Amino acid sequence: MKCPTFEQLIDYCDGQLDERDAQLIATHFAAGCCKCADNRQWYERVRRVAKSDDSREPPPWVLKRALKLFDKTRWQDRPVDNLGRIVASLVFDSLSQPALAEVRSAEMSDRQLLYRAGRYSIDLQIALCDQSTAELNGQILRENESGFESVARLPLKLIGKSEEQYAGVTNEVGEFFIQKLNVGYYDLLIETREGSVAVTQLPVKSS
Amino acid sequence: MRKRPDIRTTDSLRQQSDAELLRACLEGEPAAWEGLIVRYQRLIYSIPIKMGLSSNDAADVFQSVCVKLLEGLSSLRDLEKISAWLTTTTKRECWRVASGRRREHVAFVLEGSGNPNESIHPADSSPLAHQQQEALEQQQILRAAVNALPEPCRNLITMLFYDESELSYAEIARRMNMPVNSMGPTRARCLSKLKKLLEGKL
Repeated sequence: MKCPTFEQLIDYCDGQLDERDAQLIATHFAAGCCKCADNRQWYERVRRVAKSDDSREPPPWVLKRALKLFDKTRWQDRPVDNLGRIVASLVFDSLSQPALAEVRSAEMSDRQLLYRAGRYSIDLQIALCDQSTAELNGQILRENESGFESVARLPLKLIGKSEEQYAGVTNEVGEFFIQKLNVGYYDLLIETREGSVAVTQLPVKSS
Repeated sequence: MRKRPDIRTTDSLRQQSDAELLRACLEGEPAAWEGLIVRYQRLIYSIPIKMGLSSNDAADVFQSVCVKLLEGLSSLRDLEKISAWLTTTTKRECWRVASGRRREHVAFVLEGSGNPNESIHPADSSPLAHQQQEALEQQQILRAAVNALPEPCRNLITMLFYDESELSYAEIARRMNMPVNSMGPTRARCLSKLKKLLEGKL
């Protein structure tokens, strides 16, 4: 006998066939058709799994409460680029602060920048070594955390002109120090345990 | 450029992979979050129940797991399947809730408000046996595949597989508004679709 149709095979498994047709299919199985045996095994496994399913749905209020967790505005505050990275936003730049009266030009002093990305803040200090090179010191911190568990030993890299200029890890307190950088714009990427944080177009320069 | 399927319709939500839903969540799409939670609601809620927690504690566990999922979206975004992560996280939450309940019970007894001999078993939390966990995960896979079927098939397979009253073909045909003699071929077509969806998964 040639292979029964899928429909006949299921009818056979469900005991829906008359005796004669069932006998024909039983003989076919006995002849050792692997394809039909696989289909039969699959169907019986699926039936078994479905029959044993005693899982329970949560009450509607439980589901509703969980759905409400997703607050769209929160995600708008935490923009994610097309690579899934949380893009940090600049909240403070010492250069954009008005100069104090009778204070000498701060041209060669360190530039302070503070970025925020979701629950993380990234504090950066840029110190010019000369006209063309600078040092970048920074620290990443996570809000509402008294220790530094979330920010210690995080991989980070600095990308400039589409090439990796530096790769390293944060120290035990989330700090990092990068020396001898050519002035210019960089992307700083920090791999937190909650995802990648990106400071894009970071100005490593004094003005 | 490949067009991302519209995730706003219920049917397309059901057909999205976990990774697609996770990415859509990260883009701020609430429907994707709903899709994920609805897909895994039974798995998340059934683990505490099977571990012996009360329905109130199971509700707490459900909420904390969802919070953790929300917080971890970025790190999970490339996972094709989050069921294993959800199972582990849910089990941990169950242990956390159960140990909290045990501490409360001890304090209650030590304060003299309770009788230590009273047979109270706050959140007994028996461990989830490996077989039980495996069964839950298989049930989850099958349910997700059935839910991803187009509507007539989804209804038919749900009635065939999950209806506790074990409906006859005649009754299913009546409910589906189709002639009884087309039940067989329709069922076979739907099962073929299901088999395709489950390929390599079950």
